[in-house]
Amino acid sequence: MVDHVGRLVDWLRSLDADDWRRYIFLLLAAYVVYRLTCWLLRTFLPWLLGHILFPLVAGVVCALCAVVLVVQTVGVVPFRGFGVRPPGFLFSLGDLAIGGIRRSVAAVPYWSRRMDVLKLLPGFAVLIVMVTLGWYGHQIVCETQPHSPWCTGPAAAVNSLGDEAWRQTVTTARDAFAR
Amino acid sequence: MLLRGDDTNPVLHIEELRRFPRRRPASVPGAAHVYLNSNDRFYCPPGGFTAGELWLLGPRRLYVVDVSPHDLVRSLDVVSPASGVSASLAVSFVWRVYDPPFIVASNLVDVMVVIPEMLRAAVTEEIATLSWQTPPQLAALLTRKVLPARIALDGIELTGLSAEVLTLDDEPPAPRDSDG
Repeated sequence: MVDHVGRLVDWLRSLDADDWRRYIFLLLAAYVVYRLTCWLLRTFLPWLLGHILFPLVAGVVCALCAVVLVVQTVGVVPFRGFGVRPPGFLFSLGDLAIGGIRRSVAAVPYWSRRMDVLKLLPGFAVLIVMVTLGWYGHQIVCETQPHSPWCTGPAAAVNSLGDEAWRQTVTTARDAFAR
Repeated sequence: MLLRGDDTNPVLHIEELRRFPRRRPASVPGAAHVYLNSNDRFYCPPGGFTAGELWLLGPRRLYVVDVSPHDLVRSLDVVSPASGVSASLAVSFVWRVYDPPFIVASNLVDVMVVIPEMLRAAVTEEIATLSWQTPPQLAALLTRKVLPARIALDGIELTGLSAEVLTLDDEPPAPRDSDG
């Protein structure tokens, strides 16, 4: 235990200013990603599902039911012409179509309200989602590019990415202020 | 949902319909659906409108009319044109609505406004063609099926008419529906 702590202290002493800046940058980047994921899961996803996806699906279902209703109405015409009762399946088809439209229209506000539960998603769950996505990405990279640093040493890859991102940020900032 | 024993209104149910009804009105065995559309025309399609027709045609009101047969017995007094002797008859028959749109259009809410008069007119007319002097003679004639097989008027038809002469010992039947 003492050996490990000693090694950690040695490592911390070995860090120079560039290293600290890089780690702080990575920490800030991770926090921004966390806040972005929070916004995606708590605000954007309920809006996407409740205001876009569910109405879209309901609209498609209603359109299909309307087509079925038209087909059913056309199918009834010959029987009405002869003054006989249409077969029962035409009645059932119409009932099915109306039921589909009614349920689709009713389901949109119902499920949109249900999606509001995502607004209460705890930060811990967001972290789990992020870690899961990160792990999944790591697995995908290992399957497709086994020799990639993102597979063999993800920590080193993150470190070098942070270094590169920091350099880019500094360069961009210098260029911006130089103008 | 069909008529109870002492009920004489053939219109069982009236319902205002939405422009796009959420469900098709349930069909009842022994009852017909009469729809009033926006042009104040009545429709009585066999089996009722399907959901597609309801949405397409947009009827605004539904009447559920009882078209099932009902047994009934009515007493009737007839007079012999030859001797002037009167006799009481117990006429049993089956009545049913055969033209539901006409019933709705004529706002008929009590079949007993129509049935006694049409029965009296038809039976009296038929009895007048017979020559009888006494009630027993009339009873003997009535065994030969002299009454018409079907009487139809104002959307109501009477079928299966049979009559028997009531004697003084008989108690006249109560004028009410006796189907069950």
